Amino acid sequence: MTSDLTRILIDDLRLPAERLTDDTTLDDAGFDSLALVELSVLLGDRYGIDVNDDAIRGAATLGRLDLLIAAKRSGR
Amino acid sequence: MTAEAVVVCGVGAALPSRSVSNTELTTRLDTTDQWIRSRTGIVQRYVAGSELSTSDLAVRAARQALACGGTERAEVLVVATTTPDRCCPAVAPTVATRLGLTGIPAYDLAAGCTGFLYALATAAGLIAGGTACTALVVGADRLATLPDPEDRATVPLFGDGAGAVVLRGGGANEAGALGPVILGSDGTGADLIRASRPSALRMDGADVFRHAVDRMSTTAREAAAAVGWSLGDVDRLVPHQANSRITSFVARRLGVREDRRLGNVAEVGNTGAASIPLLLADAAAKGRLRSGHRTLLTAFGAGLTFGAVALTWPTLPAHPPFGRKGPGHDQ
Repeated sequence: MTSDLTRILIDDLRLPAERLTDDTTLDDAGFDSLALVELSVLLGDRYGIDVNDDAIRGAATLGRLDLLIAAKRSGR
Repeated sequence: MTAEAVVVCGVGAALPSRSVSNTELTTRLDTTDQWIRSRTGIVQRYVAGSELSTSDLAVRAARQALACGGTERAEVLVVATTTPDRCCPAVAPTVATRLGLTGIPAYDLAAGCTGFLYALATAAGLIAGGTACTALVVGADRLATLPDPEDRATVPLFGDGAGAVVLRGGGANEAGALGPVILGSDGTGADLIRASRPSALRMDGADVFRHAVDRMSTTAREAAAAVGWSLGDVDRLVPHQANSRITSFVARRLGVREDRRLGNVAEVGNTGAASIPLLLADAAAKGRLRSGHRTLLTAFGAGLTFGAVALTWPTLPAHPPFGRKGPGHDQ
């Protein structure tokens, strides 16, 4: 996982650092429904990208979420 | 002669005596204390029995605000509420009469949880325009009446209460002078928070979160800029108390330090139009809000409605008689 995403998950969403690995599911990482929206808004604020909460939920694991964000940031 | 500025000179609040804990809610709803706390920051809320109306709460908060301001009179009364005692007539004339103010202009205003800021702006306008020299602005709601009693998603969010401030004409540079009140609405979001009748509230949590953080942070920035403050100048952020995750997000987005964000949603839940004056009274009584603090108020609510205003917190002539449990409890 990139340090950018790790920092957001720990500093902004206050998720427990020890749980955050590529294979961790969003549920196991501690995401609740509001955290999906919080992350969506944060990604817009920080990187100017539009990743809605359904797309975040669909990523299922943190590793796949990281890839999704990287793809959006590079405009792919 | 019209006033140079409009100044806050008294504050008060009232809550029902009965608190309802998250644990109590779990006895009748399929939820847990942890679920409610982690998603909302709410630990308890106060709920009025059928004997305590919105106007009762408004009268109590108004009396406290008048006493705090060292006066018994105001020349106009605006009550912000979305849960009046009845459809018609408005509660404000009744409240005025019960305060011994029969005859003054008195009316209700409905702008959801932004209602207090809308009422503040209209009352300030009446003073600035020379219609009145002093005004009483009350936010009073019984939002606990709105959710479907079976809905575990919305019942825990809401509580009942009232808050009030007294306004007078004054100088632009004195503490308590209100900056321009920034207000807005967006009817395209009317369905996001709606109740066709009591016990029938529907809310789209995800979209409400997005709009709330966007609107509260945008209006807060505008209100601070309107009085020449940078956000780093803000000593106290007073956001509408809907959900601590929303208010925390707004503070972070504005760059206002966490210890400068006032909040009491844990103790009172979302009290609608009462939320901001209730928090002002509570924080002032507890010494968290003090004379000279550069204070930024911001709110968002059904409508959609949103607004913000900046003021330097005044030295108030008398402290409201807050009890052990908080502001303005009935006996």
